[in-house]
Amino acid sequence: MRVISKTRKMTGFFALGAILLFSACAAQRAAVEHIARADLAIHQTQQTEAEKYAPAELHQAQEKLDAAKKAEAAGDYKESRQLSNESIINTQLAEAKVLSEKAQNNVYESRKTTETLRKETQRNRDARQAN
Amino acid sequence: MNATSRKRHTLHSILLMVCLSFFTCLLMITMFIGCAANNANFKMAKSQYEEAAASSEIMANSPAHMQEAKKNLDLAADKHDDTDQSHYSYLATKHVEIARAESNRKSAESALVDQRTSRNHELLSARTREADAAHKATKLANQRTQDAEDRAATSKTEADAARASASDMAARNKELRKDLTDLQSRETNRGLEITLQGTYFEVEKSDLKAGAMHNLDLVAKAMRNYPGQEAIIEGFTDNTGTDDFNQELSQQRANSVSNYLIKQGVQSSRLIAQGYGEKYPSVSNDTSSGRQQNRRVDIVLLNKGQKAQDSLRK
Repeated sequence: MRVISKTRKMTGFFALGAILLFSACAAQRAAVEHIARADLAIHQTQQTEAEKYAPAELHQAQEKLDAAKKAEAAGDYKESRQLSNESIINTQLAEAKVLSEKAQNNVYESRKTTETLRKETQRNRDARQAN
Repeated sequence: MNATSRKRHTLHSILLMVCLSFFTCLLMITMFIGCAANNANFKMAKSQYEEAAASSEIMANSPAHMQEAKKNLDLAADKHDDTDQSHYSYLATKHVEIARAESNRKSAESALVDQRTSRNHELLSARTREADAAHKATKLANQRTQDAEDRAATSKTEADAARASASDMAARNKELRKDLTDLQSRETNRGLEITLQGTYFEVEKSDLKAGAMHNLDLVAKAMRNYPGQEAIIEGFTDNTGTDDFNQELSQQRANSVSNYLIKQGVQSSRLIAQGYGEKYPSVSNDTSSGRQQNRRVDIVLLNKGQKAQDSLRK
């Protein structure tokens, strides 16, 4: 009876340890996965002229990623995950800003072209009237 | 004993409950303080979200990110942990910013479409105007060409007429001269001038000598042949005698020639007789032969179309 109970206790401890170990591993894996995702997101964002149109957001994303890596190394997996997510949202913002800036530049250019065109046609009209 | 033991037990229970509720209160206060401390991030996220949500443009242009922002804001509101609340507030703020950027992009895109449309419109109307102008210019050019052609035709006609009249005039003068071969005549820019020398007149008188009659008959005939032909009869003298006498004599001699021609059937309206006295000598008065030449009457048969009134010596 006593032996069995001892064995049971041991098993219980092992199980508890395994669960703790497993969950710790799972948390770490999740953190690493998030870091990888954030890393990839930054690489993708760098392809989109974010350096030119949204440098602050890109920089912020990079800083958050670095912090996430540090937190993961320190074993703060939850914080690391959150930092990775914050890095990712910054890359999303950077991309949105790139598209927005480009669209607004297009509008500006188009307005200039239209203005030039209008002036030119006005000039032509004046010249014709002068004739 | 039993009673005291139960009493103590109850006392313990009450003490425990008091302690528990105290700790609960402490915990709640801590939580509340935690929330309050964290409110800065959360409050900011909330106000930013509400500001964006008030814009129907942002709500319409980026509903997905606004929804994400709301979700994160709700999560943040539920969290009591300081870092968690900050984290979700941060995400909510960023989603709002993304929604703004996306909304700006879409507005710009639609502005671009509007602008392209208006530019195309502008181009089209410019082209229309250009085409119209070109059409007008062509019409004008055609009109000008037509005018030029008309003018050319007119001037050709005029040139032809002038040429014709010139040759006509030359022919006519030739005719006249043939008619008047016996007379001393010369062509000037006024017309054909015939000089009747002083020998045709009685000395210091205006009466014509018989010999002059024959020549004047030729002139009268020529003038009858060319109706509309006008003539000026100009009388001149030499420089001997007084001016008044000379003027009078020259006028009378011109008059008698004129009268003779009228008698021969030339309408008086076609003739003007004018005496000039000793003015306009044709040669020098220094010699007697010169003076003789200056005593004369000139009949100027004017060029066709010229009026006698307009052709007098000034």
